[in-house]
Amino acid sequence: MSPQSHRVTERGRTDKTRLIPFKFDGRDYVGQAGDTLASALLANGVHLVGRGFKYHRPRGILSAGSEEPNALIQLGQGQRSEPNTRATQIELFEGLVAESQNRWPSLAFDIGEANNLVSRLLPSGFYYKTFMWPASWWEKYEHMIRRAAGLGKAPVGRDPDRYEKHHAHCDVLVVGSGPAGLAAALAAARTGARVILADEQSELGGGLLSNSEATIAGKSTEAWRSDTIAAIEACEAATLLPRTTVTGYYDHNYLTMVERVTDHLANPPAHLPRQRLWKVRAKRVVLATGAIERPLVFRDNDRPGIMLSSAVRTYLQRYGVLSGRRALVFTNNDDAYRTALSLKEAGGVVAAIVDLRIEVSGALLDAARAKGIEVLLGHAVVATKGHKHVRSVSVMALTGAGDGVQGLAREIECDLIAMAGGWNPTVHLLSQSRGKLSWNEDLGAFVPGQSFQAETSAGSCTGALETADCIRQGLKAGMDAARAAGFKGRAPAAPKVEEHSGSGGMRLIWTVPSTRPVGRGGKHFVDFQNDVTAADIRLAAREGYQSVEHLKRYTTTGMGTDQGKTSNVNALAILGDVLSSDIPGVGTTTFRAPFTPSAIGLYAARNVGEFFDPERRTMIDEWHREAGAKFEHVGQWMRAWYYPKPGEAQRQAVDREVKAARDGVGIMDASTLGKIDIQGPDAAEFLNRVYTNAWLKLGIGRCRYGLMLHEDAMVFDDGVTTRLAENHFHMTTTTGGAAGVLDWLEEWRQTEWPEMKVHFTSVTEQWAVVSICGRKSRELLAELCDDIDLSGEAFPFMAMREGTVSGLPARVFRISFTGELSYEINVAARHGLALWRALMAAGEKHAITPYGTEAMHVLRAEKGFIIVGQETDGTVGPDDLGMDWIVSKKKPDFIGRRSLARPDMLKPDRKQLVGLLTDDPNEVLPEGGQIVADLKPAPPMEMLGHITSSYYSPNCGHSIAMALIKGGRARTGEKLFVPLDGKTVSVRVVEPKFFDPEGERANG
Amino acid sequence: MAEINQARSPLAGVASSEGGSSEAGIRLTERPFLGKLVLRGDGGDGFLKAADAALGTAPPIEPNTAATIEEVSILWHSPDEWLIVTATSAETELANRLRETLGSMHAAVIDVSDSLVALRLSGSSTGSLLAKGCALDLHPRAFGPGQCAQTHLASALVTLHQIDDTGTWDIFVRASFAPYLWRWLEDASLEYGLAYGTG
Repeated sequence: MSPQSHRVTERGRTDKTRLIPFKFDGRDYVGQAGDTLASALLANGVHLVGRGFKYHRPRGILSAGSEEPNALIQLGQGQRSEPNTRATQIELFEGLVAESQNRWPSLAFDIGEANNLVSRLLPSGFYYKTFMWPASWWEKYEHMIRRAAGLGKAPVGRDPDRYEKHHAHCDVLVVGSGPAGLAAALAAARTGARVILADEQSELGGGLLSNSEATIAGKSTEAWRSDTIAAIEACEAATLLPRTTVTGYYDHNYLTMVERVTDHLANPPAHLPRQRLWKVRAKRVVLATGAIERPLVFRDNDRPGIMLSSAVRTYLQRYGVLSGRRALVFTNNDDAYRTALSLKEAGGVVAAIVDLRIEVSGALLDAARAKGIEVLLGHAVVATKGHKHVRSVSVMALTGAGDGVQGLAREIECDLIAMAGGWNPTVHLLSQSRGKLSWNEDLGAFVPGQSFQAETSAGSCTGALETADCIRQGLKAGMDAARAAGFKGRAPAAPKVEEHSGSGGMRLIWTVPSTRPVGRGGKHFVDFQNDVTAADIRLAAREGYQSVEHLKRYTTTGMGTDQGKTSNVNALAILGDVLSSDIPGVGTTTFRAPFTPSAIGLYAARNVGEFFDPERRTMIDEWHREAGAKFEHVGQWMRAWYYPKPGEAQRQAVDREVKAARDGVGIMDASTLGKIDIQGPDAAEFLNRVYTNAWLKLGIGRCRYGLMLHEDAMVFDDGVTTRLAENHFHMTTTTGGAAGVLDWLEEWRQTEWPEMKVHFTSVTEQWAVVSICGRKSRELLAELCDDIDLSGEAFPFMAMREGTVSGLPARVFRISFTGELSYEINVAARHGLALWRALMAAGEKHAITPYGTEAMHVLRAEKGFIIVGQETDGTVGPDDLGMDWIVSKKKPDFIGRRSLARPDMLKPDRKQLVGLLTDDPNEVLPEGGQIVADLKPAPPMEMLGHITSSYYSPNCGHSIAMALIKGGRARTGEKLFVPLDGKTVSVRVVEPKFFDPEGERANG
Repeated sequence: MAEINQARSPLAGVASSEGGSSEAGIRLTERPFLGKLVLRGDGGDGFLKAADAALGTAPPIEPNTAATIEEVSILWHSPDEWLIVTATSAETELANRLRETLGSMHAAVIDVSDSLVALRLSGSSTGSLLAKGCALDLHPRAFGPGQCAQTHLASALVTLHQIDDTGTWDIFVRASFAPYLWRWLEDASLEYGLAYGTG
């Protein structure tokens, strides 16, 4: 076929002077600027663009919009390849490469088409019926089914494109820019309201772009469209967004929109995102989403060349493309006459208008007859011919009841069928917003019923068929919305519209009869994308799938990428026919977001790579990195884990660090510990209530360890808190618990004890904290600190002194998480690195050893100190941890106190923290390992508990572990077992104190 | 970038202070080592009067507003919390003055100069830039100079303070989130063009 053989030069909005080369299925074609891929293919006489999902029958372009079920295209190449894009929405650009889907080896010759020959064996529910048994084969079946039925292919690598998100707020969001949407946006924007007008198409105007017959306010539709857009643009607070699909409508008038920023460009600039996800909060929403034409369900209605009547008109008027040279128009309503007239005027041949209706009148009919078009009233298409393209139809007269055909069949040649089954208002967003739909019998369609949110529908999405009505409704809806949002003004006067009108009636025959029963010798397709036929729906109903939700899942009608935009109402109606129920009685399925498929990358947007989750690093981080530290995540913090020397494995490095931190001097960055400044006359009393132990008498300059419980008496956090002054405390929390503890304190103060005078302020990041630990730590500190008396008498364990370290103002806490002589030096965060460097330099002669979190864990485990979140999991109370000593028996109350006395907390078989020693000193048990007493050859065995912490302890010279075990303390001395993969380790229960059990070293 | 008297900014090695695009819609500037205090108090007349005596102006009690006098800005954070921003090294003296005028009343002054990092954004596209990561309505009709808000910007908690009506904003962010936020802002500026400034 010659290039652009079907282009009509004097029609359409495409730029005839700008030719755009592109590739489809490896073949070169030429389109025009302004084309979609679909219009460019049709301009070249290409209808065959895909294969059916199940039967692999040849399929052509059905529609001209986002409802397209057939023309699903694999667009682009490599990592940019995108499956299931609708050719009707792909704007043509130079060098575009597209492939058809679901065919092998080629579109023209597809082996899967054999399915069509055995289609009697592929009824609805085929998968459920066939692949149920044996269950173990499902994985094999699934693989096969995916291969046979899959649509496009997702690229396997990372999406190379950039996506953005954008929050927006407006007074009025208008969805859709047809006559109603433009009118609504104009009326609202003129009041000064902040208006967003969004439309999924490349140009604003909706149906006006393909309506050249009407005149509005004495102007052409195009002149009215461009004048109105200019008037909206002139309003300062209006935002016009073409190429923007409103995909979701959520609570509180929160809507999502997908803006395709560069998809239409051959060479997108690198600084622009491919797409942008808008998150909009609108005070009011005007839905002017238009309507989608319904196919007629007749025998073999799926051949390439069978299209929606409105699409045929759109391709002609907007793109200057004759979708066929000899058209047959098949309709149940007036609108198709417009198509017939347009085709005729553009030089096409209209073989006939086949109208299901018996009585028809009005200007459209008269005009058709005046043009010499044959109109067959009360007739139906009963069969179609043509394999890869429709070639002819067979037409017969309907019986009076419309449930059968009579008389002689007449064969009519055609290469295009324009079918018109009426209009379904696009109520998807309304339904998503929880608005109610109501059935309009005259239109044979669901129309907006009751709004649930601050929203109004206007235009053809309400069922309006005439342009004048759409504009009038739009002006009113826009004006009402602006007023409701607090703006004043008057709507512009509704313009006079002149266009052909019809008699308005429809004849609803949901399954067009033919000479044979439905399902025999041909297929009446309802859902083109999922290959669901009228026979499938009838069968499903007979088999008991009579609820619409069951029907949908059993037959898959309404599923897939188009979500049944063209098929749902037909399917419901056919179900209703079988059940002898009206359509409202059948009900509808739920419309779900997104309105059209959107790329997953859009939802991730820039929250990928380094922006996936913030990594928090301390002020000393640079040193750790330069020292080659390995890091671990602690919440969002990145903490130095261990510092391997060249050639050292993790275990060797950690052993070295653990030894040095006791025998010499270790240094650790403890900056991430949570810190809360607590001030107020009730500060001490408040601490008394949130910790389990006593706080009122803590001396100034003294520190105390505390345990916090939730109301259920389960351990929630722990840390050391220091009294800085009578009414001033410095609390520390676990690294991961810091934010939760602050929230906890605020919650109790604000909601339970508002009378208490106390303020909490996070100072976690105000301070850099360097912990030095080991026998030589005092000696080291003394070298850098000359204004604090470091002697054991003057500065005892659990005390705090203020002074300077290396000339930097510091708070020095003599506290210890390692059970060793230890100081935590706090300086202003800006000085953290300077302090660390000074300590490293001064400690060189003591072989100062940086140690990371792993060594810290070993050191504290040697002492049996718990880590909240490791030894505890929200079900562990203080006594379970053997920490009853920290629970005051004298205080009148504290959070969790009452729950401590619950019977369950007193049971002797609660899980209790114990130590475990292995027979083999080098055997390090895996954390999480299950512990049993009654060993059996294979599970199940009674599990007594699990290992919470396990390390090799170089200071003890053997491995150590802690575990939570049922009635654990009473089992001290017992032998238990840890069954592992391939072996069983026997362990002895001991008290969880492995090193320096008397605690002498910290006091040294 | 700054490192003075052994002091180091959390943005050292991350933030630039010069360069960038000549036709930038965004200018991003670190304002290192500004003095910052958290002021807590009951918001009553006595408290406001005492704070006024030290600050030269009373802490604002209108939610989400800021008061600025010379180099000091006082940002409303909650009915009993304000963020005070002052010149580098001025925080200690100001804190002492506040503690003195507040006397024995139940109030607190906490130095958070190192807890928070101050960034300044300016340029013609700052509104669009902030809209990428902040769900608040920052349109001129909804938000203006002298207003502030605690909110999320991308995944960081921030205080936003609008400085003028030409798109100048101060952002206060937790120090450990500052490198993340700086890089996020740089990356988000791609479509507008970015230049760096000095604080």
